[in-house]
Amino acid sequence: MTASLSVEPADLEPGIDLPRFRDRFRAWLRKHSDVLAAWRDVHPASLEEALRHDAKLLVLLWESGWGKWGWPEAVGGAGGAAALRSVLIDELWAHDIELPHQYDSIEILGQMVTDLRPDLAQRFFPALATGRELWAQGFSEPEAGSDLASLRTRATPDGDGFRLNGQKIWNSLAAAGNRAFVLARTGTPESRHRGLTMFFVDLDTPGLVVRPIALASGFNHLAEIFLDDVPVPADRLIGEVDGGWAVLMKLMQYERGTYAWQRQAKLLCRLRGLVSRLDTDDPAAPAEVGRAYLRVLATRAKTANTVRRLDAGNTLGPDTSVDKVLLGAAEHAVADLARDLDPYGFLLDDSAAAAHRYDDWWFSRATTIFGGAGEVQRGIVADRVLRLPTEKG
Amino acid sequence: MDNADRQLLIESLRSTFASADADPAAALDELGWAEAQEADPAEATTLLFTEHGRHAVTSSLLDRVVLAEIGADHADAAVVYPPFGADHVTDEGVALVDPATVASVWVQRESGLAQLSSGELSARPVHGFDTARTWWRVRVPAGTPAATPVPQPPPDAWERAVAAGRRALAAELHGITEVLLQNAIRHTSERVQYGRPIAAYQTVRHRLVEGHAVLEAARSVLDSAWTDGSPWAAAVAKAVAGTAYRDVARHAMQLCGAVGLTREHHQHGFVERGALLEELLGSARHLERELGYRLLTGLRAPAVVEL
Repeated sequence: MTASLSVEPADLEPGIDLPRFRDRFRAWLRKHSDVLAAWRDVHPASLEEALRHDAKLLVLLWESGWGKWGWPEAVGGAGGAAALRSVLIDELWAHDIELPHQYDSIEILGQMVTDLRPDLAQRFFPALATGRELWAQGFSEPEAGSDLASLRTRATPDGDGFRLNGQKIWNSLAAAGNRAFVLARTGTPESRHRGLTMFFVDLDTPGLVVRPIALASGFNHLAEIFLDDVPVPADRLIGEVDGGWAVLMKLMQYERGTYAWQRQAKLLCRLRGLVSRLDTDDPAAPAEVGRAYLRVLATRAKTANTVRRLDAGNTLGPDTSVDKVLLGAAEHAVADLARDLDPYGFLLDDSAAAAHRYDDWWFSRATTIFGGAGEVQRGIVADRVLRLPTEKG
Repeated sequence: MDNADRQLLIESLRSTFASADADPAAALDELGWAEAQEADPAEATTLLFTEHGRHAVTSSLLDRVVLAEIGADHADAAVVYPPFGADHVTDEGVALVDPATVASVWVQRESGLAQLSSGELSARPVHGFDTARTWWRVRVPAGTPAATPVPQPPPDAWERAVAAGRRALAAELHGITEVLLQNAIRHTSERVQYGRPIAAYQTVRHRLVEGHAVLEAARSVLDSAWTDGSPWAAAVAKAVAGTAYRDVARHAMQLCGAVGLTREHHQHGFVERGALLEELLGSARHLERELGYRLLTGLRAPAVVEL
């Protein structure tokens, strides 16, 4: 924790608004630009190494106080509007600082535990926020992807608790994770979404095995989790028994809202970096750059509204799937721009920087698959926003 | 403005634009539009031009927006806009009204913004692609005398005027795009083929969703462009609105089938009017190239939207 000694602490007044927070954080980022350079333009060889490096930035932000703003005091935070966190994330990327990978987990699962199980959050959240822990999502199964309600991992009552049996796959961040949200069936096999329960499971529990899955880039973004009679105590339920679907829906509004905001900030950073490095006389380049930029801004404007609505305490509905549709287009546009505008430099490079560019490119394809594939998002908007006749008739 | 005020305003705009023979600009004066505009320029302008678009009408309201930025009185003046694809008038431009009905016109020439006496201009009415509405092609030969006296607008007057015009046009395009999308949703939900509504087929549904998403984004971007206030943000808003129009029009024309391509169906009017508004003060195609060029030549991509 010595890193925190090298920077000034955040000294903010309670109730600080977003513009003032942004100005103060910008000033801090500028002042400590030399310290923060350690997280600019870095290219760790693996996701595990990246997570270790990122954890130091999490500690720096937490210990200096900036990372605590927007989190309730009950979980170790400094209080204030949750949207302060979205400002912080945006400004890190705007200053070309790689957002710690743990933020995916902090902003979605950390928020969920804080909302639904403040007692667990009090115990575990500070470790998540400082990178000593990492939490993963365990929802998809080999035969339940888009049709998640058909999942088969079973949770059977055992004394006060439950025992889990089954298999999860495509679990983001689980390869290096310590705990996971696991959605399992507590109802009958035919109960679909009504018979599911959400558990908060320690990944080092006996009977549980995690196998990393490398994305085509070689980075272990994913994993599968095998559950063989894994005991879970009763106090590790998130939500009610058979109430797992409601928990998942709540989670999805963060995944499609605040997470989408976080991603667009990264895309804007990547676009800026790409354009500044580029030396091209390709006559098609201006239009392609402009088009990608506009796609990012479209996502930025829409997700900013979503973040504001969440911050105002609104429950978000199916409309957040629109954010994911927009984000997917922006993700693909920026990733393809990097490849198309400098094909020689992009495609034939064995440097560590290139490995990360390849990872960005493969990850962009994943963004329209995880958290509900693009087709599923469109189906949700079609049914529940536009209220079109359903496909099933 | 609160919800009740907004609803009242929308209702009166609807009845104004629905009565075909009234001049909307004059009717708005009677409505006391100026006060609403002053109280909340962003919301009033967006409401006004969105309704304008929803009714696919023509008027001189855009001139008012542009002239207000120039600091010119709209009572006896008009604007000659650059021809589509250009950023200034060389020898010909586009007007929304007959220049003969006003004393002077404002026009951006290569040398800058000029107020010209309209008496020397020749103009001819054209329907063109926008079959039901009249546009004016105006010849502006070199040496057209300036109007007297010549007021000196501030040096950034035209840039600001273009930005204001683009924000208004973005809203008008949203109105048009919304009608096209709603039409397509209605048609595909009612039209039954192979035993079910065609909106139950996934390719049809996904096209409609794509259109809805880009229109929603365009609306959010326009709100941000008002907050930001810069010409850059206005260009972004116009470009995204233009893209939304293009995407939705393409989907709507496909999904409404043959009837949507006929004179008997009202879709064509929205497609036509949208096509001209998309070009006026810069199309999506033109703007994305221009914005992209600025980014490639050293401008750090503006974030435009802030929380």
